[in-house]
Amino acid sequence: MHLRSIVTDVYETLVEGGEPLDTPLRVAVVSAVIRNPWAGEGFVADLNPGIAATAPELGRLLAPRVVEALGAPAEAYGKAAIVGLDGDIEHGSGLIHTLDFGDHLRTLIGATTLLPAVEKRAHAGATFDIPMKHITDQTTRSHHQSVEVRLADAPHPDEIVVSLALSSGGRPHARLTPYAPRP
Amino acid sequence: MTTPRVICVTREEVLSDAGRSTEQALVRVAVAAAIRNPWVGRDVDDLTTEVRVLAPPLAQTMMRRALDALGGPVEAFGKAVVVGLAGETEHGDALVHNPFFSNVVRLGAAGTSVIASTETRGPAGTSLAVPLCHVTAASTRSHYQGMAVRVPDAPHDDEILVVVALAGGGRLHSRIGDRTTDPDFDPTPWRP
Repeated sequence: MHLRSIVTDVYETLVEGGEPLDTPLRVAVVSAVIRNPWAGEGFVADLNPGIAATAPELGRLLAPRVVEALGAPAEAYGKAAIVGLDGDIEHGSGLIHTLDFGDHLRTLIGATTLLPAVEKRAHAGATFDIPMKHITDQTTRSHHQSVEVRLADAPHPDEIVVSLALSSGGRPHARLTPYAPRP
Repeated sequence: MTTPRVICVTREEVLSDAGRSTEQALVRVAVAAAIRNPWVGRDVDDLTTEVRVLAPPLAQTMMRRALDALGGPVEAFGKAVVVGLAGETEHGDALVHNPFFSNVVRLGAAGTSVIASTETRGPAGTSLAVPLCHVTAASTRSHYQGMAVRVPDAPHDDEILVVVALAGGGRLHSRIGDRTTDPDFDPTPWRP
């Protein structure tokens, strides 16, 4: 894996709607900018060897970093793969939609649910929103939230940005009726 | 101190550029705090009185996070403000161009230089390239660099986004010499 840079964003929200939070909400995102493992190879039918060579290493790199950056128990999580313009969306999806990637984070934080994801192809400097949901119960409505990310100079056309996101809680001042299935 | 609405810490670790790796990664951090503009909606001539109270704790809060995120000695620093649309750019200048803010930054960075800066007014999500220069020798050419900073939902119109950026080194593959290595050059024929 050729790694160009790692970018960490941490948001602390202390006030929302003019009302202070009892406990500031922390949201952390760690993004790795890597060379697309299939760059320059044209259409590759079998992505599995490239996935096996890259996804576990990416998961090992990003999971401990995002846990450390959050600096608090994680309650919600999400992930992203943003493919540079010369790649296939399938390349990014291949790297993040495998247990070899996501289980590094699940194990560290005791998560059991599906990791919500955004996948798209975009130019460097594109913004993307990472959806996050509760780490053990994806129906927990208070924890449905998103974080916006932008790397000014990534992904280059032959690169992929892969991110993991964690939140220390639900939305600031979440006060919606909890989810309940219709009778 | 007015509690910031949100504080965003961005840490960038650059390990390779233009296909060339480096043994020592370049680490840069930026801390951006969105605070309510203390002068918004008022016609105020004296912008200095409140600054003495507001600026030191704000600078301390931001620098503690910045130094923690950098995790090593500071070699370059910079600062910036984005004033929300209901305020004056002068409000942002007032917050960061004074000893009560800047000397706290210099103290934390062990710096003596003038702190490179940029000031603008804009909507939430304004993108900045925060200029940085060497902390003790401002003309050190290898350390001129810009750090990209953007907070998606700040500043609101009645807020000011205050930014401090630190770097643990110069540009990754800096190789443009310095004042001591420049050949002699007489600009007289090129007088504008």
